Amino acid sequence: MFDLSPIWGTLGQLARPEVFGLMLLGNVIGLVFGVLPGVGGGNAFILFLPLTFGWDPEVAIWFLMGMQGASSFGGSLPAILIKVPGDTVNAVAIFDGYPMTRRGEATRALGIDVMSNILGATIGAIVVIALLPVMRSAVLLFGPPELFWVAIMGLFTIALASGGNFLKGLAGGAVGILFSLIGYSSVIGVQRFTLGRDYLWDGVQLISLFIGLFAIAQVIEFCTAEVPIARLTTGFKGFEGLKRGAIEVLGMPGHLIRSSAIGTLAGIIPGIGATASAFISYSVAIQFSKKKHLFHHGNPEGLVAANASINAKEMGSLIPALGFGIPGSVEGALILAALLFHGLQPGPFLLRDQPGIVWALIVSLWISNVFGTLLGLFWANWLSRLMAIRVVYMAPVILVSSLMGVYLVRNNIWDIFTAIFFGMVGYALNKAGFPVVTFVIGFLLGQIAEKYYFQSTQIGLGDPAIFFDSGISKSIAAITLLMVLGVIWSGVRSKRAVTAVEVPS
Amino acid sequence: MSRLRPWATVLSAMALLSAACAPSAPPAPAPPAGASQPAQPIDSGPFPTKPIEIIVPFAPGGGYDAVARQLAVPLQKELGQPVVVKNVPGGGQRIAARQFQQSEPDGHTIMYGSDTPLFTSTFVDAAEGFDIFSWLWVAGIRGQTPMVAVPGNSPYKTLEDVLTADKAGKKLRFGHNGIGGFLPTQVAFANAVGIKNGVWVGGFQGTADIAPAFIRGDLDIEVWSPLSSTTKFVESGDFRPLAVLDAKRSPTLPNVPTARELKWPGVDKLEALGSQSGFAAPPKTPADRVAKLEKATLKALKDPDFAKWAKETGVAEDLIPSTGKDFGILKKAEYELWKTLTEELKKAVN
Repeated sequence: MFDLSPIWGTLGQLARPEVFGLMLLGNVIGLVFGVLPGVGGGNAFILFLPLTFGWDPEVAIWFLMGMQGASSFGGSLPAILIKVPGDTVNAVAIFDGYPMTRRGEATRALGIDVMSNILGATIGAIVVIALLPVMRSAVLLFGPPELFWVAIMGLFTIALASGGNFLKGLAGGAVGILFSLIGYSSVIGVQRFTLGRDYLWDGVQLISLFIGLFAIAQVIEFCTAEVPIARLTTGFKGFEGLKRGAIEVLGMPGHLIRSSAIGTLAGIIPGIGATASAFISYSVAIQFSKKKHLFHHGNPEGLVAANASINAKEMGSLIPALGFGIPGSVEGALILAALLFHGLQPGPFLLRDQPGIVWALIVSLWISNVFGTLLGLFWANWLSRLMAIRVVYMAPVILVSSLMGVYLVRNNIWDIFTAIFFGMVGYALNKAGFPVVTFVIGFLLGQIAEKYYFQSTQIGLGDPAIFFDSGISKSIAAITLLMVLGVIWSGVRSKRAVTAVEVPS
Repeated sequence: MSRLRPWATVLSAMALLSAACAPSAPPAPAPPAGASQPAQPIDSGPFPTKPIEIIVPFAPGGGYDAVARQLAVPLQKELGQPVVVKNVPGGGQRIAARQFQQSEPDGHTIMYGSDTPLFTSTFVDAAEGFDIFSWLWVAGIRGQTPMVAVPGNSPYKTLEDVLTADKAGKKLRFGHNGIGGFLPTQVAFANAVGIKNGVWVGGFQGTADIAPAFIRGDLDIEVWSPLSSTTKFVESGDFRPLAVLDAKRSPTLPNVPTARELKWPGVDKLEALGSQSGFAAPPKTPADRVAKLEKATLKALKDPDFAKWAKETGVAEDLIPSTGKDFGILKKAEYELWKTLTEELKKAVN
């Protein structure tokens, strides 16, 4: 075992007023950027990184991690309250958070949100600290063949996430896969569906697709429905609701731990992405739940699955960044950029040469997750009043802010048009009863599965045995098989049940 | 009471948005009429009169972005106007290249990218909307020394081992991220030393995911560039370096011999593989403004704060401060070398 005492030293830094103040400032910035649809925490990080020029690196880390840690909670607020995700990762929080809000249980949903955020980050932090001595081998366990199986497993969760309509779910997933193939493929060296335009060379931008599917589609919905979100404000019971929600989370340790584990793992193995892991975690939660039929209708378990995995993933993404100096994800890339900016060489020797920085990263990200969330809580009560605003005032604000956010990422006007296009797609999908979840899973994992398939066959020089070389490949393949069998079995069983008794609607 | 129609508000919001996103186009002083630029310095008026924009064709957080942002600080001091970095990622740098080509040639826009991969990608997909040969080089900034390495646990100890395996029919796997990325360098290397059984494993993003696959032993050999991004893996023993592709040894890896010392075949071609990067100005930028930018850049590269940062991150040893003219000559030689490899590259892609 290794020395854990640096944790206390790092925590002690919080006693310095400037450190504490800057972390809180970071929290506030992260929350604001997180809440604005389309303007994710990543934007805040990039905007404010140059500001830290010349600061003591450890202080800068507290400030930057403060933003990072708070933004995902910020993004979950509009997802739960107005069905518009603050960032791509928060889209999953919509499925069960928003129905709760409509039922007048906004505060309960926020309580669940807060608790699962904090606990997800905490579990992630514990795993990261436990893995520090072996972090390099942990990252190296997953190569193209293993990642291929992870992607395949993720794609099979489409079956779980289809809800009642298996065929529509499958069709949505397939269309999602097709959309993911757009762009230049460096595996086979050709452009696909790019219509001869450089714009489509990199494929459909994730943020444009998400803002379209969720924010823009919702704006259209608002404009056609024209009702306030929560028709009757059946009591913001304020603290009562929050407390109830928070306690509820403690009652589902299974979901909490499983979702956090999925998130942390997705952070450690580069190549799956935070958004995909949140969707996978959600689908897997459905499979394990005893209240399957309640998902998409305001099931607290769904909210826990989404939030815990996101925050755990943030912690997990520290591992490849610290172990190899390589970005495992967008969050990891930002952290590396920050280290580089401050003249620190991230890589295999950071833990040996600059242990203070490593511990500052871990502890500050964790602490800022906790503080950022608690800070956001003060807001949440006030924000929940947003629901009473007439949509005629709300829709334009959401539209401008989210399209602005899309534009900010790459300064490319076409990203805005793409978002509008997917807004219409999302609206059509909703109206026709296709589950958006399966479309998104197909989009997130289709091209990834293809890429790792090709890479594996190239690395294995054409021998398919490479797909079953390692124990990990075999286990993931087996889990996938079991999952499929489970879905078939529960399908058979529910059919019997339907024939046996009339299902109460 | 008249009720606002939701669609009307949405439309007005859209108008607001498009106004906000439209590029602010202040009336820039037009370049002198009859503009097929003579090389004599004409006084084109006071410069700079507004913020200078450095276009970086990659997302924030990469090596180019870091250097541009660090240089922006001393440049600002030299030029007396804010210097901002604008990231225009995507399309294998083509989106940025086109935007840059069309930008106002008044000296307020310069680009800092990696033009060699952009150029080599035109062998497979023709350049549309940009012409690298029309760009004006402001100054040379960074040269990237490549290093040839095998994984730390590889059976190969020298290039001879690799070539013997190749002759015996063993496939040698190289990783890459496409024709506009690391592929050209890998193919050129294999071509120069005479590797016949190269397998080009594509689909990677960059060093970030090629390195773990390499360390795992999923790949056999790789030309890494720049050196500074991989020295940490040499120190940790994850990479076993075979040679540095430069005329002299690298100060950070003094124990790694050069290809010339080892008398590798095709060494002249190998030493030309390192790609150089610098600031470019759009065609027809007035010569006196280019000269002013050149002077400011060369001075900024010597700035003590920048030098300190460069030293700490290992960037310092890649720096090649050079005038626009010298840099242009270097670039020309580089493009000539790549042109000779057009056919090889096309074959490797398909």
